[in-house]
Amino acid sequence: MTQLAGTAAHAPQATGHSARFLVPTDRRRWLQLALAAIWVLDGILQYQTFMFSKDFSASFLSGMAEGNPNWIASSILWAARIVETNPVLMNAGFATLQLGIGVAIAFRPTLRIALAASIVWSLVVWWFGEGLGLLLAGGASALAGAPGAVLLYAVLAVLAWPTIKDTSMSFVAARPVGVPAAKLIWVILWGGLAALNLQPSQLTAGSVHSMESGMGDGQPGWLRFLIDGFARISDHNGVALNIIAAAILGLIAAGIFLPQRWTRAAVISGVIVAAFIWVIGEALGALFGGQSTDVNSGPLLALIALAYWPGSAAAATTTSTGVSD
Amino acid sequence: MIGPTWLAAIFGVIMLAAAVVALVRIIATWRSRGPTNYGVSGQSGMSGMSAMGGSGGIVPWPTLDYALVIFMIGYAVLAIDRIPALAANGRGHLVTVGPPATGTAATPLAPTTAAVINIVMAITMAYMLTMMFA
Repeated sequence: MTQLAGTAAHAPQATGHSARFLVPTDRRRWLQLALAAIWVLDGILQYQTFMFSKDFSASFLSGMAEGNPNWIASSILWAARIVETNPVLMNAGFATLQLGIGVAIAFRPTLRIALAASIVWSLVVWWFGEGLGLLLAGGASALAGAPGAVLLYAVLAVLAWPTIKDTSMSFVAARPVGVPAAKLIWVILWGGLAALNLQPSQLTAGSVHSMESGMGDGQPGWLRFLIDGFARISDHNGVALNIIAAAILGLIAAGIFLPQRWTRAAVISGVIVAAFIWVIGEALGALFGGQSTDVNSGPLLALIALAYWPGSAAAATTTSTGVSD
Repeated sequence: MIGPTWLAAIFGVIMLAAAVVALVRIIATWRSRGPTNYGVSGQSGMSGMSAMGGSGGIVPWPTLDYALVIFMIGYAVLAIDRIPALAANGRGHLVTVGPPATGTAATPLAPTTAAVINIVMAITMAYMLTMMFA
């Protein structure tokens, strides 16, 4: 990757401790910085006025309990009650934590501890704030943000973890966990999304239309135009659309085992699908509505896909002695 | 909106133009990827954040606000990433402010101080713009 100003090449006098933090920005660092930016944005969104109200805990958090098994629902309601006791203090803490995680990932000396915190906090939010992505409620689908955006934060943090287990440097995601485990994660993610689209609750004529209708309300004109257009197409075509989507997602899942050229095609397809989900299914994270808590799953899916872009060993060796390794 | 629309439109256009100029200068500096470019990126960063925040607040175009929020957060994250380099060699082209302190009465901000100011400003402006969506 390109050498940036202020890094090692421009600081020959820097040695020892400081030199550890002056390595060039490689592909993995860009992924870490993207994750940092998303956490910062989440922190900012969490500071919105609505998040400090009791409505947030009462309606937003409690709503995640619906449809989940009793033991999960009761834990979510328990957490919602705790938040409701002092929503201002609790939300200020959540927002500050998220902002802090983003800043700490971007700040190289605190990268590892920030990624660890990112994984822990993601799992906490996935459970209590997203109801496990509604995976156990039966209505989850890729278009609606499955498996829960914040779970993908944890996955990305693992794949961008600053160690090197795989020395072949075949792709960024393999570095911390090795090629077999990285490929397994890919298959579980994309194959799992394909399977969700084939659930009985999704194979109905109105399943896609019911998700899309009204999604464009409150969005800018161009976005509403796109969403409403897809909503019209999806009317009474839920079965066909879900089967097509499952086939595409399944091919993406299988693509990781194909020769490099086809792996690239799978990664590009993953990014395109992620963009489609983000724009059409998630209205760009519904940021324009004023009650958005995160960017939703689209950008995370795209970043995870990019972590599997086949790379050359030569490009990666420059980082093997750097701070993040 | 407070005040006549035509006045807001004038201010909006001026601030938008200032934001575009700042944006071009920041991106040009990024693309150069060379040693510190004193006085360009840091000042553009500070004035640009204000101009972008102001234009986003005046021009009723949510998509622009969204893009500005993303840009400001990206700017902040990149600047944080460069702080160690800045502390090590005193230079970092994203964030330096003011002319070199040679033969001038003016004392420029320390690079890391300037960086922190720019980062805080970018995050604050991003937050202010997200409040527009509420």
